[in-house]
Amino acid sequence: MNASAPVYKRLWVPFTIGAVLVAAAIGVGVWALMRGPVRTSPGSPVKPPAGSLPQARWRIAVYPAGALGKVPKHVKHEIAAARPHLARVVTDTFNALLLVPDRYRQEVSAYFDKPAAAALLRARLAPPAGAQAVQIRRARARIGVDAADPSRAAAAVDIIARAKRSGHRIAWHTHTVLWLERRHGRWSVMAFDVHQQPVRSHHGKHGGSGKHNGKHGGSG
Amino acid sequence: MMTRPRALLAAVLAAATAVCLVVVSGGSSTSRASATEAIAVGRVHASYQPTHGKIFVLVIGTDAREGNPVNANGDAIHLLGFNTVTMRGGILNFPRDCWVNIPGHGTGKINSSLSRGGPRLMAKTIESLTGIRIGYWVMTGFHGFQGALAHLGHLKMRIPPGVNDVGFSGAQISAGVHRLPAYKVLQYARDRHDFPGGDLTRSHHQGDILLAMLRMLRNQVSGDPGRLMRWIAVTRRYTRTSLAPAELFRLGILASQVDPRRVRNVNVPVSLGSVGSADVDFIKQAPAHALYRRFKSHASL
Repeated sequence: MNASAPVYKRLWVPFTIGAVLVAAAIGVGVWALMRGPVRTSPGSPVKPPAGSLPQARWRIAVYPAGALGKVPKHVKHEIAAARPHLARVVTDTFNALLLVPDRYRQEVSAYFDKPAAAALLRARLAPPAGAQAVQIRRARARIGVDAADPSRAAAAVDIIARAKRSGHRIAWHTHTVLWLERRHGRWSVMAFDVHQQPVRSHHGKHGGSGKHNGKHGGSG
Repeated sequence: MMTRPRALLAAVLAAATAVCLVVVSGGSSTSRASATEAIAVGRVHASYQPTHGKIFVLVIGTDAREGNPVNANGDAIHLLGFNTVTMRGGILNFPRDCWVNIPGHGTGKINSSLSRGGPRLMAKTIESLTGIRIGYWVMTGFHGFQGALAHLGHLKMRIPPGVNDVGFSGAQISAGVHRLPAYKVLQYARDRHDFPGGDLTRSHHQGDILLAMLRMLRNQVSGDPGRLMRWIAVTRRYTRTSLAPAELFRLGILASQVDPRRVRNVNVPVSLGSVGSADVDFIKQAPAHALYRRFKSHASL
């Protein structure tokens, strides 16, 4: 006992410091994860995986919004030039959400401002649990670009998707409003408002009747 | 029995584990709850807007018939507050005849602070009165208000008692719910002769009009978010404001996410009196200060 006591005395101090440092490192790591994702550059466009079910084509309208008079030609050109960028923000984000979940986090981090990305990821927007063979039945986006200053835009995105779960067919509607700003030549989402809810089944057909006009689906 | 160093080590490790667990559970409990709900029924609602803190905006309606000159009287005076955490708000209405201290100009009616030093002095007057730091101001006259509303569409409002003020504001509206064109909204905003409360009731009605506009903004934007650009455009064309377009955009997003039912419309409590030959409103100090304190700390009423 007498011989081992000094060893403990020598060891417990560095051991305690080590334990505290490990705890602090874990805490910092968790805090950093919770702060939100690190912004990344957009990668290649998100497309349905090869061999997946046929997906509805995106219908995207980009228009000058808020004009009180005639829209000048140079503004029309700017808006036309912004179209592919804005369309990619929308299609990449929602294709990843529904069809390529592995890329969802990356796409949100690439296209959303950090706090907005963190808020969306916290919301755990996803297809219903257990959904398999997800198929987009309708995908529409109307994107209004500020005619007075084409560095601001607002997008209304409506998606009706269906999938199979436990042998049954389920369908749901996602209505999202995205607020975008162009900074340093890049469009990013600064705010959003998203509603997702089940769509009532109409004799097994979903999203083809034209009755889902953007805001509400029935309860399923 | 544990030796002292071992006990200490165990305690440190237990504390470290506890710290980690607290950090993890504290940060994700809300998300976990919403995730469970989403998984169960496939329903998700989430939103994010980038404005933080408490926002106070002074809205001034002047008696100028054309344009937005700063030497007019500010006859409609409303302090809007939004709390971005609780997503609640308030509209505090100041009747135009309130007898107040105008910084650097002695005492006078609150509406005269505009002609004496422009919207900045009016904001300063209200700041010194309430202790609330005003972030922005927006000002418009008769033409500006009517022009802006004409671009935005008819305003749905409930008119509690019908009004008939033909000789003055021109307002002739029956009781009930109406979709009012711009000129009728202006008439209703000006009418003070049809009510026993006179200017005090009118001031409250002006707050009602602001609430109806908030409802209209929210409805329009939820159907077509691009409509917010039109609100920004009319604000820039028809008002004078300290808000930059980018700030207008952010505030518009905030306003579109605030439920108007969570915004209360309240008049500053006053008693009627006179100074010399002028009829004035004296602010009731105790209840008014309680109101200011609440508004300052919560940005809602």
